[in-house]
Amino acid sequence: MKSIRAYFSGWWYSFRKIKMWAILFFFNFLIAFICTLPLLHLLDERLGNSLSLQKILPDFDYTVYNDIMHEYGEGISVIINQSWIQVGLFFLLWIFLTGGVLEVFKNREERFRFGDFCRSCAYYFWRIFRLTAYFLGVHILLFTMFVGLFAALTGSGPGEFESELVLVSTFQVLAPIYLLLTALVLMVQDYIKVRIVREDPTFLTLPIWKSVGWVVRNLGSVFFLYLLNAVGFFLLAYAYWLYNKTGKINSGATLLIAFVIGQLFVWLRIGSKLVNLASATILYERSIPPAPPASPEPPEQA
Amino acid sequence: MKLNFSLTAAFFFCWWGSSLQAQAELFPNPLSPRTASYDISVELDTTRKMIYGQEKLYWHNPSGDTVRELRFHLYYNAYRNNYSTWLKDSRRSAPFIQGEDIHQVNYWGWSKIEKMTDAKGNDLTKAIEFIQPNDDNEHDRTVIRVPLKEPVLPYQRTTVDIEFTAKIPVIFARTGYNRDYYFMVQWFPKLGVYEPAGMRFAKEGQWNCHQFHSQTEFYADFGLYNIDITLPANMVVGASGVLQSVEDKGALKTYYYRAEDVIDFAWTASPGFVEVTDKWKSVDIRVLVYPQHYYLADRNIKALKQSLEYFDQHIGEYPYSTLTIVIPPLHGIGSSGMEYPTLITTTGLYGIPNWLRTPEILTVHEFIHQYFMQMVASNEQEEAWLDEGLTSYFEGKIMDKYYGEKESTFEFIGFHAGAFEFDRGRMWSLEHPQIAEVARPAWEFVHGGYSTMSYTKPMLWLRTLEGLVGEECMMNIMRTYFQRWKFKHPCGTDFTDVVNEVVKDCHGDRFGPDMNWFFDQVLYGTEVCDYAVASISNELRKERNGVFGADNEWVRVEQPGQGEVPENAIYESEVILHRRGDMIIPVEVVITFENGEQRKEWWNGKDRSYGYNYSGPSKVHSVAIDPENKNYMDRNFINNSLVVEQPKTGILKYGGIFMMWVQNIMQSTTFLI
Repeated sequence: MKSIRAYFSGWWYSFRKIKMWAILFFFNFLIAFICTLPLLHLLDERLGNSLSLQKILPDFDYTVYNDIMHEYGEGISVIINQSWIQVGLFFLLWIFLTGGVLEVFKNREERFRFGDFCRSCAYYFWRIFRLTAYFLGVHILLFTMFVGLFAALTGSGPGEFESELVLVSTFQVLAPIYLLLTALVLMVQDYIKVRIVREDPTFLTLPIWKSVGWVVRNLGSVFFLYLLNAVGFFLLAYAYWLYNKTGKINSGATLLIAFVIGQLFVWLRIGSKLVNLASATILYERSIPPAPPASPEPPEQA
Repeated sequence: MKLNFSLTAAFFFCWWGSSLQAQAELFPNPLSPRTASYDISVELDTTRKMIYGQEKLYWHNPSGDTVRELRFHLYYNAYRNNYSTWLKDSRRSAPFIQGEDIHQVNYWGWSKIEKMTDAKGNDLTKAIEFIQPNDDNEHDRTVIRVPLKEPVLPYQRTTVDIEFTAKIPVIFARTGYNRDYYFMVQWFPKLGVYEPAGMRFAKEGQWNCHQFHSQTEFYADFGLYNIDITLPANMVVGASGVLQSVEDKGALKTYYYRAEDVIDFAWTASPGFVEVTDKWKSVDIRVLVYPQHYYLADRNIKALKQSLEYFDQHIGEYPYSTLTIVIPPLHGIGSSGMEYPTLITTTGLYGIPNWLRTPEILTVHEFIHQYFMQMVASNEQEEAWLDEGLTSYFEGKIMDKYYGEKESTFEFIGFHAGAFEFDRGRMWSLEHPQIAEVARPAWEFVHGGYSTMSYTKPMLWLRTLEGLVGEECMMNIMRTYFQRWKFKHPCGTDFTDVVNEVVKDCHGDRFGPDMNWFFDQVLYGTEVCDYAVASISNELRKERNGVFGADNEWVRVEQPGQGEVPENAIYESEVILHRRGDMIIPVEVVITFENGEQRKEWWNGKDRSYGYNYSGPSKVHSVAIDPENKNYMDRNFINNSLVVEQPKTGILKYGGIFMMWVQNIMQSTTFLI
């Protein structure tokens, strides 16, 4: 119940902080738009006055796609490479913003102030950055371990397999374990961030160990909350996938509708991330014992 | 001498007839000249990975020459050591097979003739000599020359008895074993082809018996094959031809097969095979598959039936009564995608989804080889395009017909490609599509390009040829070529001669006296084709002004002002087309005017720059060269058309999709924070 309450409170407080939500969406939109502009220019220049353009409107056309790639692929490669750099920058930006988001959820009953939000972003940036770097290392290690284990259990070349069913069955066993461990690491990472913002420690070692202990002690509710967040996200993704499967873009109006629905999906995706952070903050706060009453001040000496 | 010869001949023919009658005839009237026939008894030793064989070769000298030597392929010697021509070639063409396994003894394979005697019992073994007609590589032992003690007189027959052993290699290309799966092709000493003067490129009678290169396939004469295979009783066996009987020998079993009018004999065995059977008209279809790939059998059978139907309707009857599809296990994947008489291999992988049509493509492709290279037995080594190109063309036709022109290769979440467009994409995405001309022996593609030039490019220029001459004429070409050359050995010019003949019948001199201008470019040349619409201009016709005529009449009419369009305005429009590539292909040009009117022009495509001028009440709105995209040799269709003005919704659509991808990828990275 604690987890369910935390999850729905997360949605409630995320909607209440809609300005913050809009800021995060704005950054996402702006960077993606900057990536897209050169592509629009290139396509217009190369395809804008060709009848091939009419072929790609109703449906994907492999011939046109291929001609674009082999004739003008160099330009597209530059745009894609540049986009990867911008994705990296967005990743850094999100590290920066995370401290502010958590601070806003810590003081969730207060009004959102952009200045305070920016100050908190800057204040926690290095600690969240360091934490992300450490946990990236953990994720890489975990992934490498599982790939190694998979290779060791199955062999390394097609000639060595009795059957590819060995690959499938090994994957079926290892993948859930890997996902479970990864989820556990992500959970710990979430609560360390919450702790950093709540307790403002200088070094990360203590909050890391404390968070591991805390997550283990509250594994049931933490895991259930994580599950709720994950299910919420996957339902959202599934709904969008269903729309994409059925929706056809073949005119200006259908294009506009598709664009608006696509942006709505991104908006809700960002929202689901906010809900994740808000609900984790709320769950953590509701699970820690209340602080002992302050000791009475000693009477003044006569 | 004459008497002696007659007696010998009489004895020989009695014996020949009786030996071949040992098994029931499949075709009462032979379909082929049956130049080289084989009776082989082979025993498989699954412990030592060896085969022990007794072979009797019946050879008919097809020429007026006295033949003093025979030449044989010993294909398994390609896997004898890493200095063989096959392995040396493959370092460039297939580096993936140069792994650590090479150091294991069981990896290697070889073939050895223990004893060879002629019809009179003369021992020929000691005279056997390894030769290297292509590259003088002394370590290559894939071809032998056997000087005969008794020469074979013109048009006479002879027999040779051969005792051979072979060590089976681990499968990494086409043949061998892995675990308990055996795929046995090119496993016996196989005679080369004696080409009399005038046949194909032969200026005088000669043996055509090339070394085994990693990129070359095979070339052999038609014949009868009576093969008995003895192996462990738990094996499920599949083979070329028709199973005549099975003899139980306790722990072993002997399978008796007969194949008629074929150029080769392949067989496979594994205790892991499950059998699926079906029938199309009088053809018995058999699929040998491992249980994990069982679900693929239906897909393969369906594709096979479609191919049988297509060829039956358009080209000619499939004359054999059997066709076996082998779906190798993953550990035998090196034997996938190959073709042998009445036996083909496709590929199997657990979980191949329906939207990925690789199993169907392979089934269709390998089946078509039953026609082009099996019945029309061109030389795959010297002219790989002649079978692979024609096969790829028909593969595209069949796949696009039955699975959709835009979806026959794959179809997944909105992304899809048809067979021809997929291969066109492959061709023009190459870094160097002009690396070599198509008409080149397979082993001479030393710097790459074998696959593209033998499969893809011919597929595309055949489709282009179809676009030029029409589908009906194209099918007429293919049908004529098949009917004229089935059970013979044609070469490339035999095919082009048929094209020239049939196109003339269909279109007269529309394309010139012959189509050699086309083949000079696509077959023997490396030119690239790229037509483009360079510009469209529409200008209001100027009113007459100045001095006109012999009487020096002074004419002065006020011109319309800037942006003014007078009533009954006449536009002078000019369309300029460019030939940017070196290849010349005649193309249709469609000019569309703003009032919807269309003009169709036929441009011979020769000039580097060419223009059309129009005068009329409507402006030119758009121009399209080859609007139906029939010219698959054109590397860029985007510049084939030009529109004066059109909505940009398509660009915004793909811009929007790209933006969504970027937004979602960015957002996905935040999982890690």
